[in-house]
Amino acid sequence: MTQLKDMNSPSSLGVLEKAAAEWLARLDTHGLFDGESVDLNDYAAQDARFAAWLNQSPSHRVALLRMISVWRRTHRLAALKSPGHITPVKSWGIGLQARKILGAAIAASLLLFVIGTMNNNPESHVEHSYQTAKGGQRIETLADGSKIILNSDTKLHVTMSARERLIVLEQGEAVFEVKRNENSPFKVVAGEQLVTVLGTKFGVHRKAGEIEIAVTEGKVKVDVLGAPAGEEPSVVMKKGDIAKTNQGTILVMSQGLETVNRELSWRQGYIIFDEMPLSEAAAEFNRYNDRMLIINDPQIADIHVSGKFKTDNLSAFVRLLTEGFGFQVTDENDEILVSG
Amino acid sequence: MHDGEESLDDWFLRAVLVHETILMRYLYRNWQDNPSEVEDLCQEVLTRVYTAARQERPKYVKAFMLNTACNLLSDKVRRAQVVRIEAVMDMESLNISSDDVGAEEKVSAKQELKYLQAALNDLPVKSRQVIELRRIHGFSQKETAQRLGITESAVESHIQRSVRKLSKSLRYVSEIAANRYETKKIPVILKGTDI
Repeated sequence: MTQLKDMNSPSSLGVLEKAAAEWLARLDTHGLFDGESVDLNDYAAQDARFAAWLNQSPSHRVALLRMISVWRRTHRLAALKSPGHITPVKSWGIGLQARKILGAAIAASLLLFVIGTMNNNPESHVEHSYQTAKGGQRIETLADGSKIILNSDTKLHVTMSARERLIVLEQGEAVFEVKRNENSPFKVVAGEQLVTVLGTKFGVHRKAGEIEIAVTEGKVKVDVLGAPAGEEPSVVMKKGDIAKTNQGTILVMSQGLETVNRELSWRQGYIIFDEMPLSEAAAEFNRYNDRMLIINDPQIADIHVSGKFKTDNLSAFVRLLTEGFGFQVTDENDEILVSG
Repeated sequence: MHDGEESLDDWFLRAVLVHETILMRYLYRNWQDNPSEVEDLCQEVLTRVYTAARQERPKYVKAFMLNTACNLLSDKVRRAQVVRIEAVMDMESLNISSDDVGAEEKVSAKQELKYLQAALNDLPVKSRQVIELRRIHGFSQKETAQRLGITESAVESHIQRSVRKLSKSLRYVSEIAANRYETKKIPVILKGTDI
């Protein structure tokens, strides 16, 4: 408990590591790490300053051993080098600067319009439109207790009446948590698809050419409205299913709840990539950020990336591209250009 | 193995620090609410392992190390009461019967090498040349200085800055790897690359 106390300040580890690196470089002048075995105590016997530092706390010794461990690992790079000459390697050199530029958080905002009013007509209904800006997210509770979570850059209209609850998803993505009411079906229309549900949780994502539906609880019925009369495809989806509809067809895959939750991880503010092509990953980030990530080089567009990122932490992703993959990144106005 | 002959520091380098990536990944995975604390926690766990090993070196190092990490996280949760309980319930990493360097380590070692190379390429030109001459070609600091036409203290200073950067880069691998959603799979984050 007491040991942790002085570890908690973020700078103390940095200071410790700096000192450890200094001692490593000093000890290396004596070739101390050239052999199989390292004898710190032997060197400490010759250098009182080092002895004092080393024996002040076991944490010091451990920090130095960790540096030595890294230092030793660099030797393995010899396997990648041809002996006898130094390969000139171009320095990428963008890391820090790009990080600073990208570091600014992008504020999310929400616009909310109320366009409908109640009247005394028995057929009375209430209409609302909800909208989120890029990078925004919003939870709305409807009059019946159902909830809608709107993802970034989303627009939808809600019409509540005694007979039905109708949502029109004009653009974007939303998750619906529906309060059960047999007398008033909950319907979501997205493009040419109609999703009818009783009480359940599911997400609908309206993309350019297709609609994606993911179910986390209960059952959902999906109808394709645009098909010729009598041939409308209709499926019932259950928990863990993901359906993709495209030009009048529906493909339902039983992907399991874990995958569904990953698809919907934006609710917690994350995007998760599992072996996703770089071009798609960039498009995913671009849904949340004003700064557009552009993959210039078709050769790298298909490289698969994995990871979990905060939707607004574009800089972490750019860091992966530069430091992890060694890609070139150029910053231009509101665009970040990536090339191999 | 040869515990009787091997010094504690050598043992620590060989048997413990080889698992450092696993430890980092375990910590990142189980301390997701406060990733900024993970580096401190890692140092703390390793120090506890070292201190304990002065009395007696653990037989199953990886299990002992992760158990130490688990205890430390539990202590912190109990004190702070701010972290989800399931955070410390992920005991999957502790289901380790053997202490061999497993398939996961072997794969991540390959990645690590690629990553290390990328990190080396990212160093300033002079620093990189120093590391290459000193480590890859095996010249002494003095010879390295002569070859590059710089002073010996400049070489020392390049080494000092570089090793810190390389150490940070390697830890970054663990962070990315831990961020993968399906924790049971081997993280393959640099698939398709040829750094």
